Amino acid sequence: MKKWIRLISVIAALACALSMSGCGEETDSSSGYTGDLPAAELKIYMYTYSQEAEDTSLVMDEINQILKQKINATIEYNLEMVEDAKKKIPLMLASGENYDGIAMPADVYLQEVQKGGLLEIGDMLEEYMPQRMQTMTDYDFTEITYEGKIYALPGGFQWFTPQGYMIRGDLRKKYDIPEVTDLDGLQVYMDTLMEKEPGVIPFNTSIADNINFVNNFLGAAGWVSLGSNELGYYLDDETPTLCYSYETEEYRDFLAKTKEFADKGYWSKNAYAAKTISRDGFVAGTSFVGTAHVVNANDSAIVLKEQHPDWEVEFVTIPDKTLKRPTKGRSFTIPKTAKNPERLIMACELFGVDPDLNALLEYGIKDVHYTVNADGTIKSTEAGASRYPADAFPLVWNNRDLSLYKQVEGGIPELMEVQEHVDELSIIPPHSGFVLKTDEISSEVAAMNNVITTMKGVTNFGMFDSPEAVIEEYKSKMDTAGAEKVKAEAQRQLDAFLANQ
Amino acid sequence: MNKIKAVDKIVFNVISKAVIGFISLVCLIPFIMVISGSISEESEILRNGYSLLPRGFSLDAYQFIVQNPRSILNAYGVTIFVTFTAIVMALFLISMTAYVLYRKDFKYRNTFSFIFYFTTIFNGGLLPTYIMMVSYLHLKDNILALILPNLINVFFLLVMRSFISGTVPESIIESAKIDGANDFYIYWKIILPLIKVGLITIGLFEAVGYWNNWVNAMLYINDKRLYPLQYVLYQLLQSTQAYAQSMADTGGSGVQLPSETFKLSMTIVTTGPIILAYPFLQRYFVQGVTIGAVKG
Repeated sequence: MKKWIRLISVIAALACALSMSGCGEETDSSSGYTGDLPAAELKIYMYTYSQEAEDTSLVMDEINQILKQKINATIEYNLEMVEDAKKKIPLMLASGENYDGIAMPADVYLQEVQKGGLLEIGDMLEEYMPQRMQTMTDYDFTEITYEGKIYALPGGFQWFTPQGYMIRGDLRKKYDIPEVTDLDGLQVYMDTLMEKEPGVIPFNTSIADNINFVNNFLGAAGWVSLGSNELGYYLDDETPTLCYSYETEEYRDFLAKTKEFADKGYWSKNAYAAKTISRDGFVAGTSFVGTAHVVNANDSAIVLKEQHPDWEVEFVTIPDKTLKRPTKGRSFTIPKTAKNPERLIMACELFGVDPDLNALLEYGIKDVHYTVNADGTIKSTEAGASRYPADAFPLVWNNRDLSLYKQVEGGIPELMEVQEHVDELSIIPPHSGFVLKTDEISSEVAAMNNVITTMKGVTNFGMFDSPEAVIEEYKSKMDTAGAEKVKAEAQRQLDAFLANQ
Repeated sequence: MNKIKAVDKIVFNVISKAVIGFISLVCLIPFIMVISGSISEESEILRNGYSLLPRGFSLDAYQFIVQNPRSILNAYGVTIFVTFTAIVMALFLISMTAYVLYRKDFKYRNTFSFIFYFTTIFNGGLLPTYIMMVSYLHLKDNILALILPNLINVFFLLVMRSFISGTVPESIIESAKIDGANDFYIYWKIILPLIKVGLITIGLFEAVGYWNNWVNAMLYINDKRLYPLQYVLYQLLQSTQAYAQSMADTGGSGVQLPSETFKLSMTIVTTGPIILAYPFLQRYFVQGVTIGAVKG
């Protein structure tokens, strides 16, 4: 009797477990034919850097109507924060979830390509994306190519401008400050405003902001970074010899400058720990300088034109050598389990070449989110500014094409000139396409990254007594973390890479 | 002699109360800063940072929440449903399992205890759990994905088992059996009322755990209607950091970020209810923790 009870208990437990696995909905993939292209529901996964815009789903409905007509497909999208995406994408690929396209942050891309879960799409691009492929250069493929094969849609995205600085043109003119073209000019601007308009922190930046003064020194001297671990080399080296940024002469000058800035009180004393974004402060009137990417600066200028018509926003790019950056992190990859890879590529082609679709993504719905002026420029409506602001949609759509770009009223008038100016300064470094493989040195790299994160706050904000002492400290911490081993390994890999070029 | 004792007592009381008072103040300060930040002027916070007392009183942030209540109310609904359901289910399962493991006449109780305990030291990790939840149980975008994963916490199970053995003498069960009660009847009518304190304590732990959990929502929920409160808050707080990163890249999304005061007021709105639950349950809570702890 007892045995029976035991047997029945085991069977009941198993039955419970099995019945659980039947819970949930099965998707029905059956669909009817309508002409050459069968109807398809594209399921895509994208990430965003901030909250989804309020009207994103409305815009998507419009987009789906057009896509339905053109390629008989509609898109079901899933939009998440970039940090979550980085955690979820490896899980989604490993579990074989049904997605047709996954927008892949740059650092996840290499890792996933190596695991082999992504579809190789080189041949499909020629077939399903012919018009966009004509505008692509070899350079667009450098960083999405892995062992000679392509696993992501090329971005072809040319907005590689680095950070610049937004300043108040009206105040500059009011106090007769000369035009700002370099760091010294920026300093004169901040000095004058500190004196004339007391009570405002001139450059209300923090560790959460992306100030990049170091590039004004190292970049200007032709030192290019290899990646995120502070390793780099001088462009005029016959054979690139790697060194750490803090080992260069220019780094000392950079430290001297940030210390000077900190001592003068250009930024708050707790910039090291605070989370203030200077661009937000600039818009709120609590900072006279806001660092921003040109596209973001343009967005802020549009907002400020409404709020403070008397402000004149000037955007200053302080020249340095800027590296061209490819756009692998801005494109879709296609999992091997995708059901409609070709349809996704076709849709991405349309976003880049179809003016209607492109405008929907970029500016929203006509007459709801924007209107078109007589001269062809765009005017954002009140609804547009709040519910679908310029550039609200993630940029993974392969949709950015300068030929389709329209000037938005209130934006930085010289946006295109700024773009061209930086384009001229940009260079493609010899190591373009090089990726440091860290399998052998992963613990050293992790330890170094910790040091770099800590020291960045100290060095960027001039929170030290003397440049010499902080360089010494930086070096000793990095050496303890294994900097020499990493340098040797990186040099070996770089030499091998360059020899194969 | 008595006088000295009295002085001893007073000194001890003064010192202990001062120390405990100081520690609780230190714990309270961040929360006061959040409250005062949430009712400060946005521009004051940008200019001067956070402070203990509000600068430039403003209720704009709360007004904004009240004006756009849809997602927050919805998230509240999800969180309350999930927390309530999970507590009921968890207490039922934990207490019943603990009772079974407590019964000495259950032949395999050590084996089962070991199996439960084993999972606290070794587990499959994130990937197998994810695959099981998504590919086999098909729980993606299902509210059960927010409830099931943490339902039986083995630590609570073991606490409950020791609590039962410390509270319920075996003779009670024997006498109930003699009176003709079956096992479930004994559990339901005799054990449950006796371990009320333990149930409330563990219920509170579970409630806080479920109220604050956002990881499961991050992993398994894409449908915005099923987002719990903490995940909505988490997204708001994350966006500033991620946004700065995108600016360094190639120009990120231009969606307006939640302001500092808005983030702080959201923190108050989301944490308020669970904090209010404490005073009502504190009586049981202290009792429950100590009884479980001094079992000899």
